[in-house]
Amino acid sequence: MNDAAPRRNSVRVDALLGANTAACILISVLACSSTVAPSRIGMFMALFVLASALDVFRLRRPPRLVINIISVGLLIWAVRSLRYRDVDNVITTFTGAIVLLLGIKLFEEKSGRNYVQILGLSLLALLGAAVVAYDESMIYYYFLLSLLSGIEFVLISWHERQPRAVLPARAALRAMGGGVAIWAAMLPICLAFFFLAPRPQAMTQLSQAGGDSTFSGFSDHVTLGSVKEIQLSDKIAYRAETQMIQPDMLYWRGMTLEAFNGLTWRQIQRNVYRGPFRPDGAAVTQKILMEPGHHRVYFALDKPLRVESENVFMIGDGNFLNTNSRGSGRLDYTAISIVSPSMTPLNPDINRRVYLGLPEGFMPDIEKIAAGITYGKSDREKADAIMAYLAPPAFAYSLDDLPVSENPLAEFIFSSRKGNCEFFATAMAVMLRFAGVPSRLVAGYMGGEYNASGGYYIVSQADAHVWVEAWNGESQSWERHDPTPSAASGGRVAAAKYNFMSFYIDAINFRVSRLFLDYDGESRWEAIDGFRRALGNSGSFLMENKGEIFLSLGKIAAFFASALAAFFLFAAAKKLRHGTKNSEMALLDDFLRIMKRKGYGKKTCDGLEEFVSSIESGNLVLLSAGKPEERRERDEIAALARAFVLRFEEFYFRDVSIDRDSETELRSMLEKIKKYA
Amino acid sequence: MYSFDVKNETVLAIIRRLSPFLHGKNDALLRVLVCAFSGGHLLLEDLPGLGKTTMAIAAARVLGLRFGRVQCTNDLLPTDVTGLNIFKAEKGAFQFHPGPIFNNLVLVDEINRATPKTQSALLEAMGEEQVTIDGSTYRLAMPFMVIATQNPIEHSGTFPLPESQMDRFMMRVSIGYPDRDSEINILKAGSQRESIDGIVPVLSPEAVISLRKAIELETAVSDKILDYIMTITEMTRNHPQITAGISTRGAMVLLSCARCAAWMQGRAFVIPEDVKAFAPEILAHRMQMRGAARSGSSPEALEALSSILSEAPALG
Repeated sequence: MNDAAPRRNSVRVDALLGANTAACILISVLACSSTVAPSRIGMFMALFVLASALDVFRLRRPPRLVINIISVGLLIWAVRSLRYRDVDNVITTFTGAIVLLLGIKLFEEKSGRNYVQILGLSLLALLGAAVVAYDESMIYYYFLLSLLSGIEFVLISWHERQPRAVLPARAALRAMGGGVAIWAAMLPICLAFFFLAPRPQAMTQLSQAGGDSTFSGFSDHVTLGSVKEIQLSDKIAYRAETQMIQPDMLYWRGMTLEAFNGLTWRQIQRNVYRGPFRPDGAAVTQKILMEPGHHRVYFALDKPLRVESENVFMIGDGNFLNTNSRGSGRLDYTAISIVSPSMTPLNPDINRRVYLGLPEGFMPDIEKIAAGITYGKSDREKADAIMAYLAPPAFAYSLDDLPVSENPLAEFIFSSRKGNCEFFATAMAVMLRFAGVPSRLVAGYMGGEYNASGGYYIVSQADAHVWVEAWNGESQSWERHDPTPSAASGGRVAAAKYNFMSFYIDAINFRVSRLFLDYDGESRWEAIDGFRRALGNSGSFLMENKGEIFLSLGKIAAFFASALAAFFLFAAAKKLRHGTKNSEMALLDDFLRIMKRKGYGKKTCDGLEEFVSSIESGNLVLLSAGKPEERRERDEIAALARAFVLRFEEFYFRDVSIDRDSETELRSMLEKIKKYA
Repeated sequence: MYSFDVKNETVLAIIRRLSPFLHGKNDALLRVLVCAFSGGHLLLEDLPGLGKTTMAIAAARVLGLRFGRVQCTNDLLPTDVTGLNIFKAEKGAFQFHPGPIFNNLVLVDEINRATPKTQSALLEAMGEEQVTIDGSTYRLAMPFMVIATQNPIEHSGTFPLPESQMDRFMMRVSIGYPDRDSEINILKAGSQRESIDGIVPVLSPEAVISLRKAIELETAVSDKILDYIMTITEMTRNHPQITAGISTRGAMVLLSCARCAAWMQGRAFVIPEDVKAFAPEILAHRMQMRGAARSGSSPEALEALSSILSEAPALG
C-alpha cells in the first residue's frame, strides 16, 4: 500500500489533494481578479509559480520564520492604501490581502490544518469579491468551489490518516464521489440558508462620491455643470411588482422641481398650490420594494394617486414624501397610479409666477430662440416646437464631456449640444418659461427591466431621469414632455445585462426579501397559497406563464425542506437512540442491535462475555435444534462476536476512549457480523 | 459454582501442581486462592470427610505459607488460639508463647464448636491482624489467612457464629460431594496426606503479599463497574425479603474479588462477569433474610441474590 512507486492506474492521495487545493485557490483568485488590484493578483501568481517550482523540484521549503516575516511585509504592503471610509475599498483591499495570504500559505507544510485554512481563505476571498461586485458568475464560482471543497474534505481526511497513501484509480474516484455526495447533501442546507438567512445587501448599496465623475442616480435637486461625466450605476434602485406597462409610459415619478436659479432646480415648499388631480384612466397598483438607503420620496408610476405606507406625507401633484427619511433600511410600499401622460389638477388655478419664474436677466439669447420658434402658437404647439428644436441630430445625448462652466446651459445650447437628461429637460423648461408656458421638472426614473419570472420591474440607478411637465392652458392640465433623446436615455444602455438566469435568481431574491420584510404575514400567506396551488396542478404550469416558475421553485424548495426535515428527524432519532453517548456507546448499541437482528438478544443482566458464552452454549436461542449447519453458523457468529467483545472491552471497561483506527477495526468487525449469512 | 478459564501463569502453575490432589475440587481451590490473593478469610461449610482439611493444607503448601491448625471444642480457650505468657522460672520473667494463630494460614476446624468467647478472640484477630495479650500487642504473620470450617448439619453443642462475625469472612463456600469419577480416583489413590507434605511451593509469603499489591494496583476498575457493584448493593438493601443488605465492607470485598478474578483471567481490567463470578459466595452469607431462623447462606438468600443478579443491568 505504501510502496513509493505508484502502480499503474493508481494515484497518490497527496498529489490529488495538492491538485484539488490548487484548483480551489485558482477559482477563488479568478473570481477576485476583477475586484482585486492587479498587482495583488500578479504577486499571487508569482508566489504560486514559485511554490509549484519548489514542489516540482523537491526543493527545501523556506524556514517558518522567513515565511512569517515575508507574509507580514506583504500584508502591510497590501493594506497600505486602505481608505477605511470607503467600504468597497476596504473590502477589495482585504480581499487582496487574502489572495496574497493564499499565495503565502502555499509555502507552508502540507498538513490537514493548512489545507483547511487554505480552503477557508479561498471561500473568504470569493465572499469578498462577491460583496463588492456581485454578478451572476459568482454563483458559478460558488458552486464550483463548494463542489471542490466537498472533495477536498474527503481527501484531507484520507491524507490525515495516511499521508503517502496510493489509491487505485477506482477507489480514488469513489472517494471523490463521496466528496460530491457531501456537496449534494449540503445543497439543501445551503438552499435553506438562502431562504432563511438575512442578506447584508446594504453593504453594496452605499453611495459613492468622487471627484470629477459621479454615478447616475436619483437626487432631490438638479444641478447643471457640476460634473464632467456621469457613470452609469448598475445598482438596483427598487423593484416594482406590477403588470407590464407600455414602454413609453414607464415614467416613475419622484418629485416635481419648480424653482430654477440658473444652475439648480429645487422643489419649493411654499407659494405653490399642490393638490389632488382628476383620476382619468385606469388605476395601476404597484408593490414597490426600495433597496436600502435614505429615501426622501416615494416613487410610483406617473401619475401616483395614492401611496400606502407608514410615514407618507402627500403634498399633492403626485408628490409623496417620506417623513422618516432618516431611516436607512429597505422601503416596502404599495402605490396606486393613473398611468397617463397628463395630469389635470382639480384646482386649475396654478401659480403662474412660480412656474414661469426665471432669474432676473437670465440668458436673453435663449429667450430670443424660444420666442422665435414659439411665436403665435398654442401651448401645446409651443412645447412640440421646443421638443423639435432640441431633437437630434442638432442635439445629442451624452454622459461624458458634460458642459462645466459658469453657464453650462448656454454652453449646452449654443456650443457643445451634448448632454444628459438634466440639460435637455432644463433647456426645455427654461425655453417654455421664456415662451410663457408654465413648466416644471419632474425627477424620477424612466424605464426598468420587466422580470417576467417574478412579474416585476427592476429599476436601477442608471434609469434615473428628469423630464418636463408643461402646462396646457386649453386642457387645463400638465402634460409630460421628455426632450431627452429616448433611444439613448438611461437604462436603455444597460438593458442587455440581464438574462433569463439572473432574472430567475433575482425573482427568488425579491420574493424572499418581501417574505421577510412583510411582518404582517400577508405575503407569507400568499406564498404558501402559491405553493399549494403549484402542488395542486403541477402539470399545467409548464411555461404558459413565466410567473409560475416561481411556484415551481417553491415546489423544489418545499421538496428540499421536507427532505431536510426528514434528514434531521432521522438524525434526531439516531441521536435519541444513542442518547448523548460517545462512540463506544454507539458501538455497543450497534453491536447489540446487530446481534439481536441475528436472533441473539442479550439479557440486561448479562455481561458481554457471558452473552457470547450463552450463544456458544446455545442457552439463549433454541432455534438450533440440532441441525449441524445451524450450530456451525451459531458458533461462527459467536466467534466473531467474541472477537469483537474482547477488543471492545479493552476500551469500554478501561474508560479509554477509542482511537480512530481501533474504531475502524471494531466497525469492520461489526460489519463482518452483520454480513454473516 | 461459577467457573472461568484461568489464564494467569502463577495460578495455572498452582493448579497444575495441585492437580493430583484436587479431584474435582478446582472451583473450591479457585476460591481459596481468590481469598488468599485478595486478603480475605474463608469459611468452608461442609459435612466432614469431604477434604476440607486436605484442601487447606495443600493450599498452604503450594503458596509457601506457614500452616497452623486449631481444632475447636467447647473447652477451647482464647489463649489456646492466640498463645499466652508463661512464667519462666530460670529467667524470672514471663515469656510469650505464640499460639497457632501466629501462622500464615490457619485452619480453624469446626469453628462453631468453640465458645463465643473463643470465637470472638479468633475473629478479632482476623479483623485486626494482631492480638493483645496481657496488655502487649503482637502483630500476626503476614500474609494472614484463616480457613474456618463448620458442619452445617450438626447443631447440638454448637455455637452458631453471630451475624456480625459472618461479615469477617470474605467468602462462604461449600465444596460438596465430588462427582463419581473423581471419587473413584480418590478411592484409587487412597490417603494422600503424606504426599501433600511433599508439594513444592509455587509462591512464598513475600510473593503472596506482592501479588496482592500488584492485583490492587494493576487491575483497572471502570466507573461502570463501580456503578454495577453499587446497583447490586443497593438492590440487596431495597429487596423486600432482605432485612439487612450488603454493607460497604461487603461491596469492597465484592470489588477486590472482582479484581482478583480479572487478574486470574489475564485481564488488566474488570468486567461485570468478574463481579458476578463469586457474588453468591461473597454476598449470600452477609444478608439477613426476613423470617429466616438463622443467618447465612440460606436457600432464600441465594434465591434473592440470584434474582437480584438477573435484574441488575450489567452494562449500565
